[in-house]
Amino acid sequence: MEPLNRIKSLLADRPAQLKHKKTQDKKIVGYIPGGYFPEEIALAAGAVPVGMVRGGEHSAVENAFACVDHWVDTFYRSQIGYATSGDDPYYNLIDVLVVPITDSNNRTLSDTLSYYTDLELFVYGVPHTKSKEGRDYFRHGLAKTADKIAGLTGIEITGQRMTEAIDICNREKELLRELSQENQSGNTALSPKDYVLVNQASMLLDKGQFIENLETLIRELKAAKSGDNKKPKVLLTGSTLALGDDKIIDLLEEYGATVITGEFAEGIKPFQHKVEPAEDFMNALAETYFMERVAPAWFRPGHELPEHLIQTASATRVDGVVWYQLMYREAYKILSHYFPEMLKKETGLPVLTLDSDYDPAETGQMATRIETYIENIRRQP
Amino acid sequence: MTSKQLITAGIDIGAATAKVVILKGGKILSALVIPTGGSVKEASRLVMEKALGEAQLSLDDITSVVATGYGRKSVDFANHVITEISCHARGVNLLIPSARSVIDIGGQDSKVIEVNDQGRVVNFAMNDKCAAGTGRFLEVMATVLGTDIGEIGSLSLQGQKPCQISNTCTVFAESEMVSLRAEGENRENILAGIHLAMAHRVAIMGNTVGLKEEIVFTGGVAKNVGMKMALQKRIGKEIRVPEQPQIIGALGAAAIGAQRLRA
Amino acid sequence: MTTEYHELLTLCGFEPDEIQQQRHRIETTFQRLNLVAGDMDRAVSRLRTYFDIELKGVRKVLGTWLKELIDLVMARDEGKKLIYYGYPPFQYMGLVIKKASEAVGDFYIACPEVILCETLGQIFGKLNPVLEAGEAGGLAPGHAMCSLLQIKDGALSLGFIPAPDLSISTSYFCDMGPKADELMQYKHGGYPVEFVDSCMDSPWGEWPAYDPQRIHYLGQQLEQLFSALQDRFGFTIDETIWTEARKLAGPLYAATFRLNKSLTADPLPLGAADAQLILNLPMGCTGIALKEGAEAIEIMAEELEKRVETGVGVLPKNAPRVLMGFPSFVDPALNRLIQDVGLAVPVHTTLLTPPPLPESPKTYKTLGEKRSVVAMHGGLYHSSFGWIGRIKRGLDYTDLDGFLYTYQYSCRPLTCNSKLMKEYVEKEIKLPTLLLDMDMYDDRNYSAGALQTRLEAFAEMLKTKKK
Repeated sequence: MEPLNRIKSLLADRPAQLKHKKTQDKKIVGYIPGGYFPEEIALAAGAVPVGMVRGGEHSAVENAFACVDHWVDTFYRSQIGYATSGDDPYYNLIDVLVVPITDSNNRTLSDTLSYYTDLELFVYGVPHTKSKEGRDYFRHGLAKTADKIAGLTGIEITGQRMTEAIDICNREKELLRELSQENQSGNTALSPKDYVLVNQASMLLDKGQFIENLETLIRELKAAKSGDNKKPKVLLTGSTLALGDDKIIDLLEEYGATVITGEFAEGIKPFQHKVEPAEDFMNALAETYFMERVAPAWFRPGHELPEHLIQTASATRVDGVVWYQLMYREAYKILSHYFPEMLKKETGLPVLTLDSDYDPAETGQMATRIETYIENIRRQP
Repeated sequence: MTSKQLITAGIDIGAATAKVVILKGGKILSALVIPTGGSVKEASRLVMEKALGEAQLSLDDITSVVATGYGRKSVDFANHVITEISCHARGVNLLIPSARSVIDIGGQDSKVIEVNDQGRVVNFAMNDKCAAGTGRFLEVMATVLGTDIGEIGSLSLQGQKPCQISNTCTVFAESEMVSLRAEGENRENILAGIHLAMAHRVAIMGNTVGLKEEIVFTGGVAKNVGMKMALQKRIGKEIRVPEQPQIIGALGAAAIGAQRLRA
Repeated sequence: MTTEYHELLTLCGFEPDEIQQQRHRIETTFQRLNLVAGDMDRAVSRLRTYFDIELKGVRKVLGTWLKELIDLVMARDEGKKLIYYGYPPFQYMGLVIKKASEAVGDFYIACPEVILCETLGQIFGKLNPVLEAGEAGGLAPGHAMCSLLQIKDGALSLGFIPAPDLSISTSYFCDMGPKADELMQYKHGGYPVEFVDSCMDSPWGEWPAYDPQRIHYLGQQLEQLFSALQDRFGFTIDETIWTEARKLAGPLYAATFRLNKSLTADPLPLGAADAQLILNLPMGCTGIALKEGAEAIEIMAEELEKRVETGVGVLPKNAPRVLMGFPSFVDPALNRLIQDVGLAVPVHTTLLTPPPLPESPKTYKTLGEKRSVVAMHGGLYHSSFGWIGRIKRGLDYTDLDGFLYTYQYSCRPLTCNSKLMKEYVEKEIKLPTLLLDMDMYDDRNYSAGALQTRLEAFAEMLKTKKK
C-alpha cells in the first residue's frame, strides 16, 4: 500500500519538515492529544498544530522521576520525560504547548513543565459535567486559546480563515470515520496497528499531505479484495493509546485476534462529529469538541462512556473487549471494576483488563493473560 | 586528657554487614567488617569485640561509641545514635575534604547526599520503598545468574553489548534475567545491562539533589568496579571510591563521636 | 461488655453517668464495628503510648471523636437523614448544610471517612479490614487509590456506616472522589450523588489572581448544589444561614486559635500526634464536635498555657522547628516519631491563614460565587502554584528551621507537585526541605524504618545547622 508507506515516511520526516517551517517563521503549536484542542484554531491562526502523542517508552517514564512522583498517569510522566530530556524532536520545536486541563494527571504535566522547562504553556479547563455552564466555560477556554495563538502568529482569525480550517478538519474527520469503518469491519487489508498509526499521524502531519494520502489509502482499501476473517474480533479501548505503544496490539495479534480500536481518552483522535457551521465559531467548536465528544471516564455522571462502549461492542459484533489502561489513571481503573459487569449484562461479552506502565517487564504477564483470554473466546460456542 | 588521646569508635550495622572503626586523634586504629547475619545485637557485639582485639583495647578504653546504620538502635553499648546519612557525610569529609556529593549504596538502601566543606549534610535523597538500586538487588541478580557477588562488577566490564534491562524492581528484573538467559544472551552482557540500569536509577535520584563534584562513592556496593564505571558513564562525571568504601559510615560515626567530645 | 470498654471510655474523658446513659448506643456501635474486648485493651495501650494523655484536653478530644463515631454509626437507627461530603471540604460547607437542615428535620452530616480515620485508625488501630474491603470493592491495591475513599467504600460494604440519603462529591479538586462515589452508588443501592464541578486550570504564577470565569463556573455549581438540597430536602441555604453557620463553628475556631498561640512557644508544649487530633474536627464533623470539641480544646489550651508559663515542653528548648505538611490521620506512631526524633511542629500547612482577599467578594452576586472567591484564595483549590504560594507565606512569616513536607502519595492533587514543592522551597526560601511520601490514611503503605532514617537524618541536619 503505497499511500500508507508515504504516510510513514512523512512521519519520519516530520521533525525536519517542521524545523524548516520554523525557519520560515511558522509557529508550531504543540497540544495534548485528548480530543479537547480543536486544531481548527491553530490552522485558522496560521500556525501548525502538532499533537504530542508519542509514548510507550519506559526510559521516558523513568527520566520523569527526577521531577515528578511515580503515582501519576504513565502517559503524562512520559511527556514530562520527553520534555525535560532536552533532545525530543517535537518538544524542541514547539512555540507553545496547549494543555486542555482534564484531570490531575495532565495538570501535573502543565505544572511540572511550567516549572522545570523553558516551554511556554497555555492551559484552559475542560469541565467534567456536560451542562450549558460547562460548555460555556469550555468555550471561554477556546476563545482564550484563539487569542493566544493569534497573538503568537500575528494572524487574525477571520471568519473566512476559520471556515476554511473547519472545512479541512471536517474533511479529515470524514476520512478518519471511513477508515475506522474499514477497521471495524475486521476484514481489511489495513493492519490494526497501521490503522492506529494513521489516526495518530493525523495529529502530526501537514493537513494537505495527510488528507491527500488518506483519500488514496481509503480508495485502495475499498478496492482491495478482502478474505474471510475467522479470527476472534476484539474491541480495544481504554485510557491512552500513544504513538509507539504497540505492545498491546502486537500481543493481541500474535495470539490470533483481530483488533478494532475504539474510544481512548488520549492518543486516538475523535472523528465522530463534524463541526457544524454557525455564526459563533467558538460555540460551534465547543459543541463538537466538548458536548459531542464521547465523555472520558472522569466525567460525572459517568454513564456515557460505558454506554457508548456497549453500543460499539454490539454494533461491531466483537467477541470481547480489551480494556487497556495506563497506571494511575484513577477514573479508568475504577470504571474497569464495574464496566465488565455492565457489559456482560447487556451483551454477554467478556472483558480483559490490562494495566501498563510502559514497562517491558510487564510483557510476559500481559502475554499470558491475552493468550488465555483469546483461548477462552475461541472456546465460546 | 587532650582530644588527641581520645579514642572513639563508630559502629555501623547495615542490612548486609556490620562495621567498626576505632579512631584515635584522626588515625584509624582498627577497622573491621563482618556479615550482619541473623542477629543484629549479636553482630554488633562480635564486630566490636574483634575490632577491639585487633587494636588491643577493651571497651573501657573507648571514650565514646557512636552507632549508625539500620540496626543502630540495637547497639546497647552505644553512647550516641546517629543516622548513616550524617555519618557518611562526615566520613567522606574526613578522607576527601573536597567532596560535595556522596553516593552511598548499601545492602538495603541507596542515598545521595550533598555535603559541605565541614562535612555536614546539606540535602539528601533516599531510595523509595523497594529494593531497586540497592546491594540486595545486585545480590539477587547474581544468584539468578549463578555468579559470585564479588565477581559481577568485573564481569560486567567484559560485556561488549550491554543488554537493555528495563527494570530495577527485583521481582520483575528477576524474570527479565530468566528470559534473557533463555534467549541465549551471555552473562557479561546481562550484567553490564544490570549495572547500567541500576546506575540510571541512582543517577535519577541524584538529580533530585543535584550531583556536585567531587563525587565520592561509598558503601559496600562501591567495591564493585563495574558499578563505579556504570555510574561514571551515566552521570558523565568522575567518581572517586575510597580505599575501604564500606567502612565510611563507621568512620564518620567515630569522627562525630570525637567531635562531640571536643565540643 | 461494660467493663471491657469502661477503661477506654473513662480514659477518653467520658463521665460515668454518660457511659451508663449511652450504654445501648455504645454497645451497638462497637458490635457493629466488630470491636471486641481485645480491641479495647489495644486502644488503651495505644493511647498511653502515643498521646499526651496527661492532658485532660487531649483525653476529651479523643472522647469527642468517639462520640462522633457513635453518632455516625447510629444515625440511621435513630431516624436521621444522612448527608456525606468529601474531603477536603470548603470551609464551613458541612456546617452550613447542617445549620440549614435544622429547619426541616434531624440530619447527620459529616465526612464519615475522616471520623473512621480518627477512631478506628488513631484510637483502635483497626482500619485494615475496612481498607481491605474497599480494595476488594473496586479501589484496587497497587494503583495508588486514595485510601480515604477505600475507607468510605469499605465501611459501606461492611455495613459499618449507613448508606447516605445524599453524597456530595466535590470534584473541583480531586478526580478520584467523584468516580469512587459513582462506584459506591453502583454497588450500594444507588444512593444519590450531587457533583460540584470546576476546573483546576490556572496557569503557573497566576495565584492569588484568578480568571473571573472560573469563579462564575464554580459559583454556579455551588448554587446548583444549594437548589438540589432545596429540592430534595426542602431547606434553604442563603447568606443568613452562612453567617449563622459561622457562629456555630465560632467556639471551635476560637478555641483552636487560642491553642495555636501556645504552639509558638519554645519549648513546644504539644507534640504532633496530639495536635493532629484537633485538625479535622471542623473539617470532618458538624455535630457534637462543635460543642464538646470546642470545650475540649479550650481545656487543652488552658493546660498548654500553664506549660508555657512554667517552661514545660515536650521537646528541649531550641529544638528545630518545622512546618509540617500533613500529619497521619490514622497512625499516631508516625506522628509521634516526628516528636521523638526531636522536631518541633508549631504549625501544619492546613492551619496556615490565607492571604487577605484582594477584592471584596461583594463584587460577585451569588453566594456560590462569593464562597468560590474565598476558596480560591486558600490556594489549595486554586492551583499547584496557589498551594505552594500559600505555604511560602507560612514559611516566610514563621520562625522556622525547616519544612517537613509529608504528603499523601495516592492523592493526585498533592503528588502532582511534591518534588516541585521541595525544589521551590529550597531555592526560593532557602529552607531545608524533607519530602516524605506517606499514607495519611493507611499505615500499611509505608515502612516506618525507612521513614525513621530520613526523619532522623533531617533532624540531625537541622540541629547541626542551628548550632
